[in-house]
Amino acid sequence: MTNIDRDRIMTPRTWPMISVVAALLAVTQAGAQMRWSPTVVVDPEGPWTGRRLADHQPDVQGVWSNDIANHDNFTDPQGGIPGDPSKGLHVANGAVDRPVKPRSERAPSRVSDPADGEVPFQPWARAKQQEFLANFFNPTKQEYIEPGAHCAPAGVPKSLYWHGYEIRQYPGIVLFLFNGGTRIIYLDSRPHLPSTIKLWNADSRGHWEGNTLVVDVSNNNAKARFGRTGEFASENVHVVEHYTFAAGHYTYKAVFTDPYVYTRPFTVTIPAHRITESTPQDGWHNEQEWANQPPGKPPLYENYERVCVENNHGHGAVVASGKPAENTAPVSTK
Amino acid sequence: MTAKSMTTGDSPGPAWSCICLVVVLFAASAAAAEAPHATRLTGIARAADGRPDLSGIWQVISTADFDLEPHSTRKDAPPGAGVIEGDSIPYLPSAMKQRQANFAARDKLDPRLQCFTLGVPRDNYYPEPFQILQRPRDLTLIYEFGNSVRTIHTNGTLHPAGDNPEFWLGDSRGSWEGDTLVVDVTDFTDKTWLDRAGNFHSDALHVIERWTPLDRDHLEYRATLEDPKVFTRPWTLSVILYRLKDKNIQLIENYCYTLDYDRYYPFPGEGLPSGAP
Amino acid sequence: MSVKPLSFIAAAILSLSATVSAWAHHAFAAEYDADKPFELTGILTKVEWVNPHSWIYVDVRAPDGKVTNWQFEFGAPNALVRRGLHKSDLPIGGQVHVKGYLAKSGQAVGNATSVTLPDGRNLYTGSSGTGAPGEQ
Repeated sequence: MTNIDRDRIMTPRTWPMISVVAALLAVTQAGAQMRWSPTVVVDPEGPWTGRRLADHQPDVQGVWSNDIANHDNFTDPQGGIPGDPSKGLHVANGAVDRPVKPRSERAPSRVSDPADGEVPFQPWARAKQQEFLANFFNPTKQEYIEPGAHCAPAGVPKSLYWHGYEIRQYPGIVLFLFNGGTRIIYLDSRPHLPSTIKLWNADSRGHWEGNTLVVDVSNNNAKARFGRTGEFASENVHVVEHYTFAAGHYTYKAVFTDPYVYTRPFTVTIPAHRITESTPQDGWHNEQEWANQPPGKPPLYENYERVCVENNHGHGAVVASGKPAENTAPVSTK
Repeated sequence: MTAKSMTTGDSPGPAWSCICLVVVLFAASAAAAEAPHATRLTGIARAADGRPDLSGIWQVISTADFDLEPHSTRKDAPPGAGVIEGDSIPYLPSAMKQRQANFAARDKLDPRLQCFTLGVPRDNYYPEPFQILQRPRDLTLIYEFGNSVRTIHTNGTLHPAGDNPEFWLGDSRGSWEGDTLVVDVTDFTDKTWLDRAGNFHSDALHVIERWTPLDRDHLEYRATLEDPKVFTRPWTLSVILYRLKDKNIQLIENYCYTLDYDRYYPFPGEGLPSGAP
Repeated sequence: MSVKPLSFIAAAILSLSATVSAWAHHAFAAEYDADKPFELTGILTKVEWVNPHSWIYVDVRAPDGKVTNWQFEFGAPNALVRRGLHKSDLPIGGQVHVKGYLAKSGQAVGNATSVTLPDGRNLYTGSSGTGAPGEQ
């Protein structure tokens, strides 16, 4: 996405539509640069004209990933984590500090409504979000360690901007396979699980409207938070999701309602693109491995097993016992 | 197919036998044309490509996970006649010592106690449901315990080449022999047990599974295990899987490994109000 | 620590092409202290080749003779293999020299950036950056 019309660059307050054809060309050829593109592609709702499965579902199977950044920052996705001490050439593991663009040139907030791009927290909830963020780089309590560090699933909606994932479909079922987590979306009329059952990846019931999968999400244990900036919901949250598909791209728009935490419902918008055999592996969006095909067969990606194992040691400044640590320096030997 | 005519006075027996034989032979040849390797089952779910459709939610009733071998009652296990062919698993002498040590400390060492991935074959006879979702190119198995996800590739691909990965669930490549799904599983870690009694394997484990529908609601699951570091020869276990038919049956996400810390999230104490508005 | 600029840039370029999957689960700076580098030598006692990061366990003998078993975090197995590091390169009982950064918890845990193997090769072992995709 190197050629962007100036008048189409997103500001935090505008959500222009980009032609889907241009978007398709861009997303399949420029995945790496796209991560840092400020433009959000929004697919229009409408009829589905592509391939269908035997039960008439639009066929959207394959590997997908979010267009923009990651889970570092929910409302300023390309802004990094506020307070990150990692700076400059001296940062660990060879990472090179890169100049961060001004806010107006970064991608807009994932909160597309209200217009200010902020989660409409009640004051007590805003304080809890700020508390998590303030303690993120020096976590002295378990609650300040992001649950993903313990291999917990990423939940709703964070799973959609935490690594690439796969969609598989079956009669009456859409299955999301995340890197550490699944969502089975039943398309029949069965009721949700009883409300006392709370799950990391919630409980989902959906149906297709043209090119859009509409999903009702409840039974959310709300433990995963929305990202490293600490936004969250309560286990009372109710989410209605719209996944609007084009051939190589889709737009996720979801309304989050939780009167215990927010002053009003708000909308989350996340664009995503299809990963194909032309997409380079990058260990984030594309974690596929090359299948071992018999001679004469074309190259094919496949997903390896995703099992997360943590070794029961402390994270941050918290030791395995759950208590903060007393720092002791090791003895260096040569 | 017309019946052979009978002339008056012929005894019915041999003539009817002849007709029946012809009918049976014709039916058998018709069946063989569709499934050349085995007699084709009727009354089972089939996919559009004619293969058995194993989709559904399944669970064993047997005591296999308590102990694969025949055993009397124990404080921590009901009695069981065993699910293996033969009376005991053929351990190498050195491996038998390890097995006995595992058994003695099973209340601490069983990886299920930490909600680690149970692996193959144990996930298939653990007493908690799993769901099979079948497409032509693969079967996806979601095991409720720990929410483990396993893909059995049925698209002709081979095990990974080069450096052997170590998978908790192994690498599974399957193909159909008649109405039996035959799955070759390799590339294991050594971290899983085969049951609660401490039966175990090494990273050299190789499993051949055979999944065969018996009727619409029952599958036979057979697994032949070989592991030259642990066993003296291959051996086979066999269990019956039952389709769960409770109303609105679905898996319920079970991330038991989060139970040690989930009380801290999103934050503990009086933080969040609960209950529907 | 002194770092030759060219080799550091080479390391940065190398890390560009490496996977960042390990840092998806936790941010480096939330668990390890970039101001507390370490270098330790010891004998391998265990190797865990697992996701999201592999671990090696090393008995390190302090000058006073006390032996501490350290845990060092490496990248994900696929990432290591792409860099030429295989589990078989880390035999139990072999001597390794590890460089990296200490855990904030004060436990005998470190994030390894490089390892010198028993066969003498020196390889990078970590993942790059803080987990943001496309970091340059």
